[in-house]
Amino acid sequence: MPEIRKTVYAAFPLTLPVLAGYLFMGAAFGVMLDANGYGPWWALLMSVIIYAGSGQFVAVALLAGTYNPLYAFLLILMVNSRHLFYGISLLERYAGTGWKKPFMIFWLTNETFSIICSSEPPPGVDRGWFMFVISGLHHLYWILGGLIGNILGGLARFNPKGVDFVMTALFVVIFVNQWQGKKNHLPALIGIGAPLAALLLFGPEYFLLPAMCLVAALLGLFRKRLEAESEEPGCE
Amino acid sequence: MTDSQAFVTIVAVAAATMLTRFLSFAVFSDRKKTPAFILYLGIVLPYSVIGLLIVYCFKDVSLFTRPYGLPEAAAAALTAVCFCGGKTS
Repeated sequence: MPEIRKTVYAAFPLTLPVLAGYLFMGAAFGVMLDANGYGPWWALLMSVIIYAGSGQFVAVALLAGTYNPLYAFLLILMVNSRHLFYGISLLERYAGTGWKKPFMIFWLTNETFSIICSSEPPPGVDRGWFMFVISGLHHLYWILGGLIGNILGGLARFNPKGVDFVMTALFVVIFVNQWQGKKNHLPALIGIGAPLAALLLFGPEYFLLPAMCLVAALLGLFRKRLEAESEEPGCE
Repeated sequence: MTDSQAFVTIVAVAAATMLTRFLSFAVFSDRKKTPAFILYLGIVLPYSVIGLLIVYCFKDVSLFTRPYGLPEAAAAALTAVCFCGGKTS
């Protein structure tokens, strides 16, 4: 089908930063898992059904600890609570994508969210397919990275320190891009300021939920002003 | 931990992750019944979430002990400068 080929041609270049990031971060996960005595089948299982960076790193720690699935469930609920915000942000954009929708929801990672939010399909390419291909490719990269790291982990001494900055850099670039494209910087400032305040108050382990509440509350507080000024749909 | 215990743990982690991803879509599946505040959040949140993600990436950096987060701040600033420079040229 030429349609699919056109979509992949349009989508693939946009996934390159994540290709680099996920291969390395996935590999770092694979190495860690291997160091705890879990082989490639476990890496494959986890990357396929969990598919969450920080979630899988925490899961490795959980596997090394005492058995408590309820604690694991609740801890991961908190670590991944930021996904709730992605869902709210993408309600409109994912509407009407049919059977592709549950897949794209399952594939919602930090990186996929940020790429989906910051890119438009070229003319003639269906947006649903475009987002579907980007999301699916990302999952593929992540699985590959995990397997490579897990299999080679024992052979090569790979120090993953600093690798995660690939992703930070991606977010910084998107932040700057959004900043330049928007006149009102209040939502962006709230997005930096509120989590920073929560981080200082609650510490790195517990700041995420209070940070999200604070962001939502502040956005609510400035709703009249922001609503009057916002014309375009948010996820641009 | 036995293999079956490891498997249950992994399934629990996967279930929790899936719940966080699907919950918003499940609760607000009908646009007409979605509260206006949630629709408003959908418009402004993307701009805030990226900021939150950056803070999240730097969450383990200590600002009050040496080197005071300076390497991370320098790296982020350099990234932004490179991006702006590449865009205008």
